[in-house]
Amino acid sequence: MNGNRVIELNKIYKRFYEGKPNELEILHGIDLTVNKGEFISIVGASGSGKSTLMNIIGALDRPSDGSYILDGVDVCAAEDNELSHIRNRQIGFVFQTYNLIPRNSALKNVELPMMYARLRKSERKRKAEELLEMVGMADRMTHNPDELSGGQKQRVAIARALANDPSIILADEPTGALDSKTGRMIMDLFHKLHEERGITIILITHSPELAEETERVLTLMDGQIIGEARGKSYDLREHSTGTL
Amino acid sequence: MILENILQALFEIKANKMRSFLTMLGIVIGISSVIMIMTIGDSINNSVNDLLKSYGMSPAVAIVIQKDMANLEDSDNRDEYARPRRNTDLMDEELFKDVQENFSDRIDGIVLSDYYDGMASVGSKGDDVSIEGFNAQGDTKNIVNGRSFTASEYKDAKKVVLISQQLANKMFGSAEEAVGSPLDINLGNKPVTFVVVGVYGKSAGGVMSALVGEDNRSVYMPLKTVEELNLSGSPYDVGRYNYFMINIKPGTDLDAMCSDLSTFINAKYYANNDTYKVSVEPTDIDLSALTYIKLGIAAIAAISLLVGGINIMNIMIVSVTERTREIGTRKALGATPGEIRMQFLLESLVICLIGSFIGIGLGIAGGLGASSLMGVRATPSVTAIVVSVVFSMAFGLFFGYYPAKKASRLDPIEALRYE
Ligand SMILES: Nc1ncnc2c1ncn2[C@@H]1O[C@H](COP(=O)(O)OP(=O)(O)O)[C@@H](O)[C@H]1O
Ligand SMILES: [Mg+2]
Repeated sequence: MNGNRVIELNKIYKRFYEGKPNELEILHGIDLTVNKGEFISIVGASGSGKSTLMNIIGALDRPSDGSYILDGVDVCAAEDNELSHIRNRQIGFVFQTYNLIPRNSALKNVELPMMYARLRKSERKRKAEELLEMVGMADRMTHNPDELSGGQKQRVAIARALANDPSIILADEPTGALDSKTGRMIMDLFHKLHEERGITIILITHSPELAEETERVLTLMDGQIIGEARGKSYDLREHSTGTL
Repeated sequence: MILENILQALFEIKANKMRSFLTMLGIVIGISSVIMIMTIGDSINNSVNDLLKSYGMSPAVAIVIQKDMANLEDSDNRDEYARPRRNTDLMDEELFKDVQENFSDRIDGIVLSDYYDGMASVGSKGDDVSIEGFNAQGDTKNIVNGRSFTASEYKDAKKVVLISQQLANKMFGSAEEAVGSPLDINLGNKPVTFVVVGVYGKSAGGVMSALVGEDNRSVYMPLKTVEELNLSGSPYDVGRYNYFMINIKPGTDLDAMCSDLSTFINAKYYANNDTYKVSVEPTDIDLSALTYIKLGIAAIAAISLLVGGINIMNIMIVSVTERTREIGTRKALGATPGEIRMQFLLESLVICLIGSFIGIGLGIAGGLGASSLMGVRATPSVTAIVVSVVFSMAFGLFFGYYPAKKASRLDPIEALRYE
């Protein structure tokens, strides 16, 4: 076992409605290893099982079969509360639809994971402000989600994903609802996090160009990984729009 | 964390003012009704003493009855079988003095009264009046003009009277005119002239007067005056009494006082009496109309609390469904099922508490209002308030548990996929 491996999926199967007549197998034995600090992308047609795979990687769901070791912990054997703890400390989710808590300010949204981690209020606030500043949202901290644009919401969501210094960021089509310019800014933010903080990032995207920018591109089709390619190198400085 | 959840709950309640208000409505109505009845009930209980006094009644009465009778009611039905009462069967000043000395910590006064047995009327219009005498301790009339009787008037059986405002208006035009004027009262066609020394007003106001009846046909005079008028008709000596009424000091346990007093009197004065003894009993006051009102409000309270509780459960379930995505997100961010359950449980708890605070406020206001309408001294019921708060908390937890449990069990995957 290589100590550098942060994610090890072994023959992962996922079936819905298990044991019922309408049983549906979505993932058919996925093998995947991700090293610490890697930035990989997963592409594939709609319905190919990308989100299902991502949910398993993020410990939101358990596989029907197979083994999953996350940072040395057997996720399949873990209890519900343990999974909550893993999601809270190790994983940062970024969703296509942002999923900010409505009526809660950007600041409160970013504080949320730290509240579940039982950080002191003052500590939470300080950290949340710092993170919002980092994603360029310093002047919008007290705004509620419905007062923010899509790109701004996604930046708050990224700040929230970073709250407890997770080792892994899981982003499920984070630019899917954004125009290409805003999507570009979000993508640059991921590059920056990857380079400056060495965070492991798994990105699901429909855009081949964005996928190309990552170190490794996995193609999923009908619940199986059918291809793996190396991405082109990407220089953040060359492309940076400077408006992060 | 709990404080955090409480703040979050307050936040949600504020963000959905209308929904929160509707959720609370049942609790508010229920609790305010409960507080209101309890306040009115307590006020009446506290004020029964005052109330009785203001009508010339006392909370307890001591009366000579047959020895083989358990109480006054029995004796009313069986009196005919006994030998007639003699002077020596009755009570006198010596006994009263003894009682007052021995029960000075509980008894405030001994009221003696007597009625003129025959028909009496005043003036040319011949208004029927009832003539009543009382001793100084029984003087509780609310004098609006003139004065009450002096010590010498009581002692010397002076022919002085107190009349009602209504009678004064009718006979003299006004209370001012009445005071000091002579008043002829026909006692069995024999006119006797009295002097009006005072005019009394309403004894109690509002609903209570309607329940107990307003007194305005009584003409009051010193006890001895009545006794002397009655001399011809009465078989007993002056200063011998069949009964006396007892005013008690605040905080006295009425039933205990009654039984202690009857033991005392019977042991000391009636041990050797072959036929008679003294029974001391609380005065019955008919508050049944109030009891019905209280029962009605209690029914409303019970129904609204039940409906309120179900309402809370309902709206919490709607709220959980509405916030399915939020719940999924919170779980993705690391909330444990227990933390989600706590959040929703505290939300329903806080709603119930706010509802009960509003209800308590309205209930006290309503109770005080109703009490003053009835003319009794109002005291918000502390027990009722404490019970309400505890009860509404239990309610919030009970009816909030199912929705909270439902929220905590949501599958995060399903919840995040929820549209
Ligand atoms: N919780 C679920 N219950 C039933 N079917 C599901 C569930 N989640 C996903 N699916 C089905 O699994 C398939 C893959 O879904 P998903 O992983 O969301 O695909 P992608 O993200 O690649 O578009 C789809 O056909 C979807 O309908
Ligand atoms: Mg998807």
